Amino acid sequence: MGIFISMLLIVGADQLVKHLVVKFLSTGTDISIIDKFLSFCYVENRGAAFGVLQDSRWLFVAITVIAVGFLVWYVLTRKPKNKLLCTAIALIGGGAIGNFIDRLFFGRVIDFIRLDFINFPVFNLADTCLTIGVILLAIYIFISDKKGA
Amino acid sequence: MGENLTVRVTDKKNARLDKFISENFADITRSQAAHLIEDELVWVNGKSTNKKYLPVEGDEIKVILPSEKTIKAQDIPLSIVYEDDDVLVVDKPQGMVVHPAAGNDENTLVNALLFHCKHHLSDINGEMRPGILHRIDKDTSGLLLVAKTNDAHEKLAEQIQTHTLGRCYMALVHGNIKEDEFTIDRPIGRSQKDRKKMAVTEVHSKEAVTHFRVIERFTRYTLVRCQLETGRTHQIRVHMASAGHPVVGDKTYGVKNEEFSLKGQLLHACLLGFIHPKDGQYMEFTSQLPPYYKKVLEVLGKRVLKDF
Repeated sequence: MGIFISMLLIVGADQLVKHLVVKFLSTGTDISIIDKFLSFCYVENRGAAFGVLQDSRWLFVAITVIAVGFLVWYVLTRKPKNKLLCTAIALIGGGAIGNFIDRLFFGRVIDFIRLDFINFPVFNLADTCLTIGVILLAIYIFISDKKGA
Repeated sequence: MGENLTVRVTDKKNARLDKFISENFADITRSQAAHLIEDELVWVNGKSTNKKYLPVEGDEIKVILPSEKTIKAQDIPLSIVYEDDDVLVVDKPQGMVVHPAAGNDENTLVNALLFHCKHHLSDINGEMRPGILHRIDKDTSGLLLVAKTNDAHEKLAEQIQTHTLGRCYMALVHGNIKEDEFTIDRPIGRSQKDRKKMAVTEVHSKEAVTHFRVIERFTRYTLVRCQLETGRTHQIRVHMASAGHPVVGDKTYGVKNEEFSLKGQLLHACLLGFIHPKDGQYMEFTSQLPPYYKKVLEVLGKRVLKDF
């Protein structure tokens, strides 16, 4: 149950932040947070994470449904106990659902975090959770593989 | 392609590239050199660079001179909005290239202008661009100002430099924009990933400012009026794409699966205002959206009615 509550909290936080971004950031205006390092800007993204594969809305909706469905099935049947694995699943699920809501209801995702020191697409909180979740999952797989061997 | 000239740098200290070329090649002026550099016809050690580059000892500088072949005057019908002895305002159709470039020296607006004006066009901007003061992209339609005399060219070019030339565009973009008015102030330069594209970047870029005003909102599209403060290559298209609202039909910066089948971006230069170089009077011209553009708006308008 804990995993699902964490997922919902992540989704809630992501949606709240996006709501604030829509309300307070305007199109074309960049707000510098840390000079030449981090800034906020409002971008409507019509692709997948990090702006790749523009305009394939339904493909991503389908992929998300399958991925989240699998996560839910996995949690319910396997009942994972490992903290690292549980955190990874919550982050991946929460991040995926966060952007899924935007894509399904509005056909676009709100992005707002921009790194100014590298050439990297604008992203959001859900992307960040998803990425950290995947990294944690990779670490978990790596560790459990070693243990198993 | 024409003749090539090569020189090896022997001095330790040198002037910047455009000046260096004008000093080392007798027939090339500094502004011509700057144009050649911009057109990537100057190579330093096999690579193109910018005019501010400072040559160092041992550099091999190669200048590729465009062939002296004169540009052909062609009888292509033009929509001339205004014309007098000094200036001309033309409504360029979508798909027409403004001026000849390497590999493409026919069927451009310049070929048509040469025929129409019987070669009475300014020649300051070089043989490839007679009369041309500013460009609009091949797939962008609308008003373009042309100088017929060198005097007019200089005065109008100054208005472009000081941003007093009025230029407005109508763009249909993806998404429903929430603001009624907004400004995008993001520098534009060549994309690091794809040299043929422009991009919002901090690297080797120039300041770019566009003001936008929403004219009409459709469910998933917005019609915006764009006013240029600067005139960088692909400025409106790059700025709108950077905000996640690419211009509809844009094959370079837009979305892949467009709902409408279009030849290019729905971007139309609808207003042009300038101070006449001779009598100092302000003149302003407007141009209607082309039929294929209006048709898309009509389809969208009907759909909005159906949604209610």
